[in-house]
Amino acid sequence: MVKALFFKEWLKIKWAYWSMALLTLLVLVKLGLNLSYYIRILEARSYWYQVVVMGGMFFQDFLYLPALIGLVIGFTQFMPEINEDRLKLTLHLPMKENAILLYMLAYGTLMLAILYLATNLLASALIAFFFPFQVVKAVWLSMAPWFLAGFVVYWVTGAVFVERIWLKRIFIIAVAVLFTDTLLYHTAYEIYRYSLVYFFVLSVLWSIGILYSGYRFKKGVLK
Amino acid sequence: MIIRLSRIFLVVLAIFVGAVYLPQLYWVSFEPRIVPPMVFYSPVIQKFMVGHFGHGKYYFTDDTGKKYNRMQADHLLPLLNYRILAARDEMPDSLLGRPIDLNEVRHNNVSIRIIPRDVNPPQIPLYPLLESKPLRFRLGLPNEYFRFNQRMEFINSKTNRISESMTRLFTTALQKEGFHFPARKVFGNPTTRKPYDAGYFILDRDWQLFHVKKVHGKPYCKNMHIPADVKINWISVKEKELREFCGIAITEDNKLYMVMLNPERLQKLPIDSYNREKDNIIFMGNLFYRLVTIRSDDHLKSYLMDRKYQLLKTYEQKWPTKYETTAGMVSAFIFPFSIVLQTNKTYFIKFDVSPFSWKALFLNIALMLVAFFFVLKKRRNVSHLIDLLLILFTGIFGFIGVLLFESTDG
Repeated sequence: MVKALFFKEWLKIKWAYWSMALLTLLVLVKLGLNLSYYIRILEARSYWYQVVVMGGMFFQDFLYLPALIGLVIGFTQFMPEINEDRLKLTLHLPMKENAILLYMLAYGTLMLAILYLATNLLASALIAFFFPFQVVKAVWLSMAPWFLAGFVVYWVTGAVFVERIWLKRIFIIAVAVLFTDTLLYHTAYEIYRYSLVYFFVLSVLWSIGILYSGYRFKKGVLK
Repeated sequence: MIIRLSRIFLVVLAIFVGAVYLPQLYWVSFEPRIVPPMVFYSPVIQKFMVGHFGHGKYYFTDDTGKKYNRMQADHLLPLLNYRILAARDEMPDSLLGRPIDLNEVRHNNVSIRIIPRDVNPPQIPLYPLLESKPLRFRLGLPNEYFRFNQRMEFINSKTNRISESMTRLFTTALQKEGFHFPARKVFGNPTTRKPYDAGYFILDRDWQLFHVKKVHGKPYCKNMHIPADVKINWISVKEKELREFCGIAITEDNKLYMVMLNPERLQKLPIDSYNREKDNIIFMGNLFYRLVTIRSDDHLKSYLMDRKYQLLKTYEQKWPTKYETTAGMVSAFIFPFSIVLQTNKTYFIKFDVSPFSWKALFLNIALMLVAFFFVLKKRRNVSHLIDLLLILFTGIFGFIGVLLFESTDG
């Protein structure tokens, strides 16, 4: 049953997923070209200086990318469900309703995790070609909250689509936008070094937000 | 159960967002400008001079409270304002019995400012080691950057590979001086915009301090033999034209030392009120004195020393912080606490939760009653109780959270 559910989810998101993978690949290519360009034009020692000493964040293209991916995958996965109330059919599958919603979300989360992991690995390989490991590690730590934001946006998108009442949707979006904003500071390298754990815990709280809107959906709440 | 939990989570997130943004919004709207005083020392009247700037004012007072306008102060602080006085042809010929030479004044005027942000900032542990005695007398960036593991490893930026010859050269030189790998911390001022290069100060595994430079491509390593009880936390390296010292060292227990040159040693400063996470250090040196001001958000203490760093006089002053203004007092009644993520004290994002404001309990209780009688009155169950408790402790944030995401019961 779970397998069938996952296949249904895959059918919904596959185009979006591949497009996002392609977009990520393009951003990675851009990163690689930029790195090789600057090292050629500025000379390696000056470019290293820019990055290592001046704290130039050369990977800022990744700031909003995970959030965008989360949003697009969330859209394509949950938008069809609310068209003509198809979610009602989904929720009639022979499984517990909460479990269905959680499996749907878990599938998307897993797929996002795979894409994010691949992105990080490829980016690391690229950066390791031009810089020592110390820079790669700094990039990981700096980008970690941005990818966390990607998951949050995805989970919130799910919750917002399952919610029926527009006012409530706006409330959820408002809180989520403000929350996501706290994950996207990028004034220097590794600035979340001492607080990433707290942000991780808070972000995970969003993951079951969909159950709240799912419950309201089932009850047919009108306000 | 899990649905209740999912709702509580949303409320908690709303509380977090509220505690971050509402106080921020409040302060953006109402924060008054607070300009802390600046302390100088007048060699003419032998008194501290306190500069009051901002809010359209610009005047000085001495430590007896006597007021001076800007023009009068120029003459009382001749070493600070030597350019202006010289341009007006008003520079005294001698001060404290010593003939004044403008070049000497300029050369001896040194100022160093260290703000909490500068201490232990986020840093990628790779460092360019500049040539200290460049052939063409101009500092330039090297191709190699070093890092520390069980060796002092140089990496060539062109090839991104380890330069074995340099690594061996410097590692052996350090070992000969008694360096115990790996390094705890590396302190330097890697820029070419400075009068000379003092290299790096490196703290080894056993808290010994080493001075490392590259001179004609060869290592210059020196164990500074600092006392065993001096555990350095940070050194702010600042090369100045006056080559008497090249920075200020801060120890784990917040004591301050000047990093002296010729010979290299640490000179203790008679300062006892510094906290590296909160206070600014303003160091001003001139022909006659060393004046160090330790300034926090609400007070300062200035230490006047002679050129041998012996304490002569101190001066202290307090002023109200933003929390003691009307806006601050009102905020204590509105917000039970606040979460500050970004401050001007550090580059790092921190979860700075302010202490609970008991004054806000009035509003908290009022909001709880509003919720009890008007909003949540139809529901009398466990969720209801949790909601009320949340409002009691988190006040306006919890109230908003509970209203945005109403209970799933009832």
